[in-house]
Amino acid sequence: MEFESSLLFGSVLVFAAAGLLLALVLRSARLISKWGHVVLITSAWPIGMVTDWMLRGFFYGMAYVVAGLALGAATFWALSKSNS
Amino acid sequence: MTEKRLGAKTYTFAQAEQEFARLKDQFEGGKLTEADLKAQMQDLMVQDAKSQWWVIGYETGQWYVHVGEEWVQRDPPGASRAVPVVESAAKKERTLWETLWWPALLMSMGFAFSVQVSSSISRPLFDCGCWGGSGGWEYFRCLVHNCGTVPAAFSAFFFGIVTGLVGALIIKSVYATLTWKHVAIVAGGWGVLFGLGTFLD
Repeated sequence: MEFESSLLFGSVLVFAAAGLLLALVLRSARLISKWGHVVLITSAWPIGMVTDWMLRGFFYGMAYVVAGLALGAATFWALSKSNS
Repeated sequence: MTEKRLGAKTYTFAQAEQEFARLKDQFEGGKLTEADLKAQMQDLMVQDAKSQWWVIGYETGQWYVHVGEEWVQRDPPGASRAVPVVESAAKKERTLWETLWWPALLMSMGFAFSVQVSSSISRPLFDCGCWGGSGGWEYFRCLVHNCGTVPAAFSAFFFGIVTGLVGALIIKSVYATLTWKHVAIVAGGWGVLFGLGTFLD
């Protein structure tokens, strides 16, 4: 359990940082403007990873599919809201 | 500069502005390339009562009139401003499936594909007995445990680059205004972040 928690903590930080970078790039490209959208994109990938971890009995081996869908949905929702 | 195509439709200033807004919208939505936009804008030339030719600058959205040998920026006769902000029919017709769910699904599949690609690159280089699959961060943790941080960081770096590239290209395919510089920043940045992440984890 200690290994699992540590693993989860490390991956959450890395994925959050990657999401934040993506959100800041989209903001600098003026494709999104609201800081709420930046927070949403930043948190989507870690939330997807945690969800996968919690449901691993069902989603085992599909972490990036689940987490990628979370990040993709959050990103394109924010983009469509900002560009509609 | 350009010549109006023989047989091309004749536009009034207002019609040309509306057509320009529609074409620009398609370009920004990734449905037209820059070359297509330029080609189609050749048909948007308007001739006024004094037989002067007018064109809209595709980058500026301003009107230019042909005077002597030069194109000079001016407002067209009777116009209060150059190009009205018109929400085009094309933008209205874009569905939630096209702008949200389809690219999100593509991103999801692309990320799973990225894990396979990056692990396929690193596995022959480092025989560490780890399975790349799509099992998440465990793969990089296994590499750290079995072979040390350098092979793990190398593999995670590749994963970050491929994943960032896939994600940014999918976004660029829907929102063409995302530049190649932005794509490179995301891909390179994710490579560095994931690579460093294996050291910090």
